[in-house]
Amino acid sequence: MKSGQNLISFLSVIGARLRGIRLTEEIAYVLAIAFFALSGLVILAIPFPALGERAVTASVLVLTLAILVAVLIKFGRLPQPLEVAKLVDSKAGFKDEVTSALFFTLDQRSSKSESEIERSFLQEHVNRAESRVKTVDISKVFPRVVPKTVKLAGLSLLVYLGLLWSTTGLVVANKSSVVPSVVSGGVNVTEAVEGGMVREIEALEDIQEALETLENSDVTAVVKEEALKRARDTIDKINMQAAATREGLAQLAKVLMEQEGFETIGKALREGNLDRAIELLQEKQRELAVLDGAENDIKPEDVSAAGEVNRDESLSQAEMGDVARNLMNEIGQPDPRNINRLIESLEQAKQDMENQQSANTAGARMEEMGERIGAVQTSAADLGGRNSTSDQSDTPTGMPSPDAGNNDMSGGSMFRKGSVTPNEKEQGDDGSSTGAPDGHMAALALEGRMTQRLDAVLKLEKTKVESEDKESDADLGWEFQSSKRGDAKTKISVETQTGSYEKSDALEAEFVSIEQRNAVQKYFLKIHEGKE
Amino acid sequence: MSSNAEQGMKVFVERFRRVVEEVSKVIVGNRDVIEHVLTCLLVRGHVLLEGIPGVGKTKLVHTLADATDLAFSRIQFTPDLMPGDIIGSNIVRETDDGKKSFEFQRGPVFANMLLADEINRATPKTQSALLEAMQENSVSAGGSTHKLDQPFFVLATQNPIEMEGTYPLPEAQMDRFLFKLRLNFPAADELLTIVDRTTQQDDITSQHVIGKKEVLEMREVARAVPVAKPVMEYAIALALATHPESAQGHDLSKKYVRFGSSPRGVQSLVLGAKVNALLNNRFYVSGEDIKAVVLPALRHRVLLNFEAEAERVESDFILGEIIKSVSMPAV
Repeated sequence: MKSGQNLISFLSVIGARLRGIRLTEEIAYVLAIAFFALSGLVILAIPFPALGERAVTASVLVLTLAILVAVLIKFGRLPQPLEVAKLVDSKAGFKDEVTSALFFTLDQRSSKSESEIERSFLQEHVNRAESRVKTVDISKVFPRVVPKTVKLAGLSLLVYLGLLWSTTGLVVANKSSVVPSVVSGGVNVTEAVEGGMVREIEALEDIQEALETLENSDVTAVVKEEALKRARDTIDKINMQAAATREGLAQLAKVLMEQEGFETIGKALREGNLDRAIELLQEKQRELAVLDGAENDIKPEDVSAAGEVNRDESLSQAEMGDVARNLMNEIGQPDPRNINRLIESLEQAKQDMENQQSANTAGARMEEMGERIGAVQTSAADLGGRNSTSDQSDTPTGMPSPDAGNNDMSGGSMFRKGSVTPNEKEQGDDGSSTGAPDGHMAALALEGRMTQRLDAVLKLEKTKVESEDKESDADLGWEFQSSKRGDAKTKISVETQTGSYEKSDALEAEFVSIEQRNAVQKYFLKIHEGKE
Repeated sequence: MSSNAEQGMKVFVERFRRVVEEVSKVIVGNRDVIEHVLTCLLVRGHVLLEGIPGVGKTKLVHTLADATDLAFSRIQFTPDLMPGDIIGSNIVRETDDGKKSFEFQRGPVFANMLLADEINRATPKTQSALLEAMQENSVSAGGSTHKLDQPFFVLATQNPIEMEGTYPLPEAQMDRFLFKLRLNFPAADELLTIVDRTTQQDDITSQHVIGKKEVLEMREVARAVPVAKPVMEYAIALALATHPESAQGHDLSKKYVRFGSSPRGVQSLVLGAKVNALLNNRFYVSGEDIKAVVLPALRHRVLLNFEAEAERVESDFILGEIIKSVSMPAV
């Protein structure tokens, strides 16, 4: 009796509509992905032109077509009637009536066992369901709306077309021609970075970063103080490096002065005119290259290659001396390749000076800001590397140390002999006096840089006291006369013990005052303890 | 034909409402409990009523018996109650001519509506005496089986707070009950009505609104409601979700349940849903009808483990979560 044909036909109509909606959604989804993939290819084709080839695009399109066919096969069939019935129930709020009625309509089981009342209930149930679905407005329950995936596909298509339009005729410049070599202060920065000057630049960046931290009002005072400490360390390092370079230059000047034909260069170096010295060296190199080229057929690139200096480390005084001594590979015969190395060394030295200048300028500004936040030591002696008596902390002028060429290079002693043990007798064996690298005291491992510096400062005073004795020897007659009078020597010894001499005296005599020495000691001890 | 079904449903609903209204005259509040008790009666089930003393458990059964005009008997379960006291026993009867013979003396179980008051106070042996009566609608005594008059309907009550000296119902016994209903303590306004009704000179009594015949007709109608396979599968999914060892078991079941619902649980769901469908003027059972009876049909069939008792997790909570998580199976 139960028929339910109306129910089935109704569900077929709904099923066809659902199939259309589903197919549209799925196809649009596939297309959206395909267009996004193509857009991605267009973008990637800019750095990787191989991806922009037609074969790649065609393969994407073929893959898309394959997926579309699979989607058509999967979703092209009509959905199951029970599935549709369930959807109708949920959408129209029929509380499983259509599902239940359809189940009994499609149920092929024998109804012999059913009682009359059961059959009547079934029939009534199916009839009611049929009449119920007649009232359903299909367009309301399943309205014709543009699926979201269709909008997404449209958007992806627009993106794709937009990218195609914007990248048409796009010419990608050659990377190597776009990035020029950066030359700063006579030094090729690009090369410098690649060759090992990264640390110096990083050091300057550290100072800059510290400045930014001090200017930043959002960070705490503790952070600012930490930044200040780090920057001070960096400045100290740069200053010590510059001091070593300066002393190396002094040694070099002395050596060159002794070399025949290099006197003018040595003089220029002594005067601190690095540019002039480089210029003269280049001239010298050209002259020698012409001579040697004629004899030994030396190619210019050989000259260049032989003179390359590893810029990973700044040249120490010893290295500078080596360079100077190696000028002569044979007696009386300068080697143009070593001259080239010397030029490189001078350029490096010049760069060190400039770095020091930049660091000290930034450091002054930093200290000024540090005072504002109260994170800086107020004592002038606390400035450490900025001690007025220390040539390593002076703002560089490009001039060598006043003691350039002398054996008692205070800065040089400071740098080299920082590792000399207290019981070890000092040899005064800087490079210039021995004339050979073997004569130098090997730098021993230090506990820490701060200790080295403190030790170095103390050595500085000791060296100066010894040098004063030498001066006394030179003025033996005066001393004898003074002794006779019995006042001059006494005065010196008394003043040395009491430390009551004026600051100007200390500056002229290159003494380090006890007050300053104590201040420096405290400063470094404080930092040292702070580090622990 | 269709008119028969329609008429049958109409009569069913009308009678049902009348009985409920009549009982509600005496029993204040707990309308859903009254409806569920009547549902059990109409689908050949039995009901276990649980509630604190004084909420009207016994009164409800009395009133229902009055309203339906069914033979009513009451057994007060005590620890010394014997099975014979329930089902009856053979006694020796001497005839006038001096012959002696055994004669079966029917116990209180021979009634249409049996109130087993405080069933958990009797020993399990005595409790089990009801097993056959509840399941087979017959009792065996003295080597003979005696059919019980239909409708046979057991209403057992138990007090959940006085557990001392009680014997919790065995699982097999518990499973025989179609529904386990809880009578809640009445609200303030309901309490006012109760006091008002029970403290007057004349007690309010219920009248017969239907008789045994009508009850049997209603039983026939209730069973006739068709249930589609997807809906049955939904009921099965709900029952399986209570099983900790089942792949379809709910996470809470796996954590807190010792044993899940028995197949009788699914039967209870479907039968209760049929009445619910009729009361909602439907000729078929929907998923919502199933949901409506999940708690009374399954709460006593979900046996909780020690962890649940320690954490005071109740079966109603677990079933509520199961209802939320289980949906109609895909067709």
